[in-house]
Amino acid sequence: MRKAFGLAALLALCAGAGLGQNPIKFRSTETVGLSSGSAGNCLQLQTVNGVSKGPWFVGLGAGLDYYRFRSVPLFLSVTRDLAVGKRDWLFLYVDGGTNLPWYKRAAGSLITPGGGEASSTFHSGEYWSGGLGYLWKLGDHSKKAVLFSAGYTVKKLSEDQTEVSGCPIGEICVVPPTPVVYEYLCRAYQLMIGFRF
Amino acid sequence: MRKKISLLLAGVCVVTGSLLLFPGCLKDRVTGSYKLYTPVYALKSTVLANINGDPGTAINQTGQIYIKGSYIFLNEVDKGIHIIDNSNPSNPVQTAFLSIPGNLNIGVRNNILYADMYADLLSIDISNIHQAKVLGSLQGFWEARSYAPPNEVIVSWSVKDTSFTVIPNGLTLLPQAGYVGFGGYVTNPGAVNALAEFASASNASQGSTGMAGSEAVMTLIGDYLYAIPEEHSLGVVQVTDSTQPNLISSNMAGYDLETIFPIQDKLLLGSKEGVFVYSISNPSQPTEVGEFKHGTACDPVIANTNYAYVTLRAGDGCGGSANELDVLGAQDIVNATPIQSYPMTSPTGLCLDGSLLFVCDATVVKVFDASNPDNLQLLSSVPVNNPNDVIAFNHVLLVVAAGGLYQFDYTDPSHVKAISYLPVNNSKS
Repeated sequence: MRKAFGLAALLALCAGAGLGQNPIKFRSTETVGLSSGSAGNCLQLQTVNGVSKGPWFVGLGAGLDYYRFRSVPLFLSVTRDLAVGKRDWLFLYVDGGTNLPWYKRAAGSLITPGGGEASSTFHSGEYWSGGLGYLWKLGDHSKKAVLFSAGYTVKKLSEDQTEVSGCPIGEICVVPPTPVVYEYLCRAYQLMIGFRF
Repeated sequence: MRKKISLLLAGVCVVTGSLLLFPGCLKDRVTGSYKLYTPVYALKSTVLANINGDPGTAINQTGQIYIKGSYIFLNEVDKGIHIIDNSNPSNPVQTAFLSIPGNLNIGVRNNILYADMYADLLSIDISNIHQAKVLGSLQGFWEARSYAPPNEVIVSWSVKDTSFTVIPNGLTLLPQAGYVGFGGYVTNPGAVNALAEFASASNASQGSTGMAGSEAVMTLIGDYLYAIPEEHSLGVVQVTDSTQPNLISSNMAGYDLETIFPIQDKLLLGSKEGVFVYSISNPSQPTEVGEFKHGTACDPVIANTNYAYVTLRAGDGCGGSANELDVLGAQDIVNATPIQSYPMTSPTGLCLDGSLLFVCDATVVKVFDASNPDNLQLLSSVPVNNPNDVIAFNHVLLVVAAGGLYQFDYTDPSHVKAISYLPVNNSKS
């Protein structure tokens, strides 16, 4: 987590170093897309809001990611626009932050090998993404643009599973039930379309 | 310009198509980690020789409690029994510790202490508490707790952090049934044995026994020890000769049995769904004479000659959703009828002293005037964190809780006063 923000801050610093005399402007990007990996194709929504100066942008993002386990990524986003023509641009983006779980297993869905029931608690993990995009400005001097991007995303979550009562009724375990901790590393391609203004 | 854009769009399409067509190139990964507990065994003969009344030691995890005379016997879950001199309740002194691996249950008859050591029932001479001596044993009585080879005992556990990796495939949300956990069992949660005053009194001529709490699975009456050796059985052991506890029978007695409570010539076996009533008119051959039902829950039961009191607790794998105290008419215990229910938070053990009813409930011990069971009057709530069970005797209320052993003076039940507290050792030796 610290690494993520450290890297993002570094990128932001680099971005600042390269700034010219361009004014600072507020910018917002709303996207919808797919996370595509071994778990299939899943919906992803994001909003990123921040400031741009020249080709650089730094902002904070929040999203909703349904890949494998529904979660809410909160991240710092750094973007660099690259001019291709007057109205068409490419851009590179790097996002890093935390991934908050928003997923609960159905009651009774975790059964231990011994036939008992286990409880489940999810915990947050890291969130990373990066990629390349194409945007089409709606006017020669307009901030508004539609965009498409393709990238790669990594999200992590952990889950504690603890046997609720692994012992016969009226009895206790020789060894108290200790949680099995699962660390989930989810990797997916990220395809987004959206609108920037 | 248009050509450039077309090239860009073509590139975008190629990228999109590639990513959507080959998502399987990316593999998610699941890493699981858990603590693997491996038993450490010792020779049973060595363990038995070491049960000799060590000096008192710190309390780490409270279990059952039992009183006899001026002594308190407090189970250290799976480790042994603290013997506490309670001649002065305001200054209880931990005088000795019996190191009994796998111990949960306690009963005392005359100077013989009966205790379980995992599957075995031991009889221990405590005439001199500091020179306790194992007199005899009944091997394999607690049949649900046989974990070790016949001549060995689990004395500790080695703990090893263990991990494994899974590459999930497709949409499967891993781990679905891949839960890895250790399942080992012992009897009776930090609970307390119950021996009714009726039983003590009625059998005084055949041997002096002590008093315990409401969540017991073992009780001594006269020359017999009755216990729930596993959740469906009632075991009968003749203890006339303490050097040779003699198994009389161990038979199916009900379902999901949790507690045993003696009243007059009956045994009440509290189960998850109700109470099974057994007659011990013939002490060596308990006979089922009735059964009464209640909501599904964890439930100790106590009774006097007129009323039975049952606490129902939801959760903890007990099932059900009720948290309440039920009062039943028990003039005819075989046909007990519900009289009144009182809502509770998370009730556990309970006990009676005359017309006073004490109920452990989450963060307090509630003291009721039970003169009229139709309309219990709450006299006071004594703050105790996670009380598990209580014994009220001679105006001294013993409360065993997660945090230790508490004693209160209830001479004035509306103003219960703290007398002493033996805390658990949080550093965990």
